[in-house]
Amino acid sequence: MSKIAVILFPGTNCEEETKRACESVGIKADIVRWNNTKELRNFDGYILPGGWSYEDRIRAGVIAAKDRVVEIIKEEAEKGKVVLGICNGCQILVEAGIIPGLKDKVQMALAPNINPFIDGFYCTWVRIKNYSKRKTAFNLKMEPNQVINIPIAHAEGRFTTNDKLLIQQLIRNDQLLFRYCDEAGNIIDKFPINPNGSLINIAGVTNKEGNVLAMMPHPERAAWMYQVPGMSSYGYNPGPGRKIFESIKEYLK
Amino acid sequence: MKSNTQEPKEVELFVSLKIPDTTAVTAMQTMRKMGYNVSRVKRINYYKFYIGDNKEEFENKIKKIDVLVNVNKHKASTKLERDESAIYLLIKDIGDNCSNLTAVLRDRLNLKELKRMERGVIWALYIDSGNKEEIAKRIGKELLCNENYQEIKVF
Repeated sequence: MSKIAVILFPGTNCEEETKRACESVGIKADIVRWNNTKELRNFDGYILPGGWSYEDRIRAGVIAAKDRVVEIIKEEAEKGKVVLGICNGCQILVEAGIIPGLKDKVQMALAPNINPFIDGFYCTWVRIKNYSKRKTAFNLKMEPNQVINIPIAHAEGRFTTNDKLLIQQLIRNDQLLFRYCDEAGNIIDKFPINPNGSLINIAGVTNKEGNVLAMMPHPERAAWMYQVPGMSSYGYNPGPGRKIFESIKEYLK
Repeated sequence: MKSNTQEPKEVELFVSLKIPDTTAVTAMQTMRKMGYNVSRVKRINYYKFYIGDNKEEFENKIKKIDVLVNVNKHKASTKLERDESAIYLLIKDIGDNCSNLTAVLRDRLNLKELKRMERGVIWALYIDSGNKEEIAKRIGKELLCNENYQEIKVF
């Protein structure tokens, strides 16, 4: 059975539900503390869950990005292992330069949300589209252009960059896996469809190889239908976010 | 005689914690882990206000505005108490026009003379050896500032 390490930093708070979402598709998941790196290389993949690592001190994700555990995960990712960063985990992967990973530097940021009504933390359900034309470790079980309903909960979720050529490069490499869209899949760069002002509605970016994904929405909070607004009568049936975990399982086969 | 076309006056406000600043301590520990010889780090919230008139009155009022200063844990001053042994870095978010905060100060808290404002964070770095300014800039770029959405300058 494939084994995933769910990394627990001081301040992480989504480790249990992330572990459960892995187990729901038959992946063994262990919660591993950030300072326990001894057995880390024995895992088949890694998930950096949501939360507030190091209380978001200085800037969300930046302190954790300097931890030894992230260096090891970067090395293992280069060998092709699967790595998923969700919300704060996404911020960590970006601050570590693992995403988008085209240069040996930090090429992107998760800047404070731009929201016409609310400064700071914003929590809601949004829709994202499987925008990638290729199969990666995270959309193997998704249809092309499939739209899923998924929650976000963050204050700094606006993908941005000061590298004018980067976005074209990401499009060319097909690294923009998830983009915010409306119910019909139209990508409209307008609030509330784009809930945080992300550049061209980016919700999730992979590395060039497609084995590492940084995404701001929370798939583990949409892993069962009862979690989805208006769908509670479907109970413990798989929710829309489950597709991402099913894809990881398929990739690990 | 007063002119009718006055240039906006500027007021700066420096707000720091008078209780232990755990963020500054974490920042210092991270800098050391990154190999920098830093003996102390201080963090100061920085605001710059552009106002129409009555600078002195505005200075007195702004120091008591509790959305910026909680007197139980903060100290506020309109002048930076500069320590010559530290290098000061100012980090600001690019394009942050502080519109919501400006609206709160002007419309809800009645600071009618406020025209616009800027904000950022000042980090005071006490570096033990080497070219202190160059080292501080390096720390700024590697840790304190993400230049994809922020800007940094020696203050």
